[in-house]
Amino acid sequence: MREDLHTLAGAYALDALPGDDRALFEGHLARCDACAQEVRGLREATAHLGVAVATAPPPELRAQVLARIGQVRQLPPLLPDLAAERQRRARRRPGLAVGLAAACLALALVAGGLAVRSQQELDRTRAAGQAVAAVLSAPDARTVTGTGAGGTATVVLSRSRGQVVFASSGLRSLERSETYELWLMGPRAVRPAGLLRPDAAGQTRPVVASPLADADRVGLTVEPASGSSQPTTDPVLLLNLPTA
Amino acid sequence: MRPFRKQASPGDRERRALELGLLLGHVARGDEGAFERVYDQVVDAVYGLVRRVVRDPAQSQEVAQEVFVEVWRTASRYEPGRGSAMAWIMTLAHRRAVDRVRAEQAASDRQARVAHGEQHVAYDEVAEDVEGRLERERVRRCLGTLTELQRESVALAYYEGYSYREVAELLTVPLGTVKTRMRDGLIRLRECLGVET
Repeated sequence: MREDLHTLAGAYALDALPGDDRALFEGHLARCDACAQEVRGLREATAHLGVAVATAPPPELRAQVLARIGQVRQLPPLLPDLAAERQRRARRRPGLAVGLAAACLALALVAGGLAVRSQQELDRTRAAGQAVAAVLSAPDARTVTGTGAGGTATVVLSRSRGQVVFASSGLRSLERSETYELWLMGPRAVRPAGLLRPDAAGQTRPVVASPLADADRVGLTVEPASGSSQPTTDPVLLLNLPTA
Repeated sequence: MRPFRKQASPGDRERRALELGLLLGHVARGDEGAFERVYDQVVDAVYGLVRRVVRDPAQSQEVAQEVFVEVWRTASRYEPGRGSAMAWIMTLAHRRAVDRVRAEQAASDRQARVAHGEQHVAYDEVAEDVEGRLERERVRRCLGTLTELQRESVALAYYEGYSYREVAELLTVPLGTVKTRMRDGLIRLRECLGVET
């Protein structure tokens, strides 16, 4: 069911969910940051679809609208909500953390354009990824997704754990003599964070990289098959990490 | 070291996108002058979208008015860190338009209209400024990168206001297929448009 919910992100962003499904999905959104982030990205895309059919309105609309707002009281800003805060805290309880980590892991992958298609696949990922799950369930976990010339990457980082999870898709396949290498890049140093080999579909499984230290970017370069100690080519993917 | 790919766009658009977010902040504090500037910047897009979904000019005008009142009323709820101001406004507009269509029209009514091929807004209605034309060409090109099923699923939902069940029915494909095509289609569109999130 949960997996099913994730695939509704597109229909939701298109307002194609009937009322009950919409409410169900919004409940899910409120609990999964990666999911909310995917929807936000899709909404940016749908907004372009709307702008593309721009049409001049009847001239009288402007005066009608301006007259109307004079009679409408504005909503006050939302104050930090106690209920939401309680929910956030509940979500950090260890018992809940694992389930949520699994749900959010699938979402983080989806946000990066990676599809976890079956439950078995999710289970395998989960089993292989206790370390990954730990990062995803960290209270300060943040998700960053970006698309570059070389593919799409999703990074989940936890400053408190000093770790990032990196997954990518849409990578081109390499010669046997080459490999992808991940880098944690800070103002003072660029540190190697592991060699990655995409599968036939151009995806790399989530891996944990650390220590984060002062890294403010994550990059992926193409290197000789044995890897390098410093990047020797321009990154095919480069993501800025939030600092706070 | 090459930075992330940026939108291939006139820098003007990015500047105005930022401005729109700032203006909404002023609107939230009751600044009617800022609201007028927001209106002028987005009205063609909002009205065009509403008109595309709702079709009827009188109803479209009503819905567009509701959208702007909603922008005024809820401006304090816009969070700049959670997407562009334009996307926020267009989301309000699309949802309003779709809700109106769902409330007003029986599905059979709309199916008949699609069958009659009334798919496109007459060309002379379309706003013809240069930037608008560039945007339209970009979106058309990017829609062209979708598979036919992705494109049809996205367009029927977004421009016609159909639910995913209705889209599945119209395209005679399983519900699950429509769901994934919608998502995959939008992801591809997002990547082609170079939208940053």
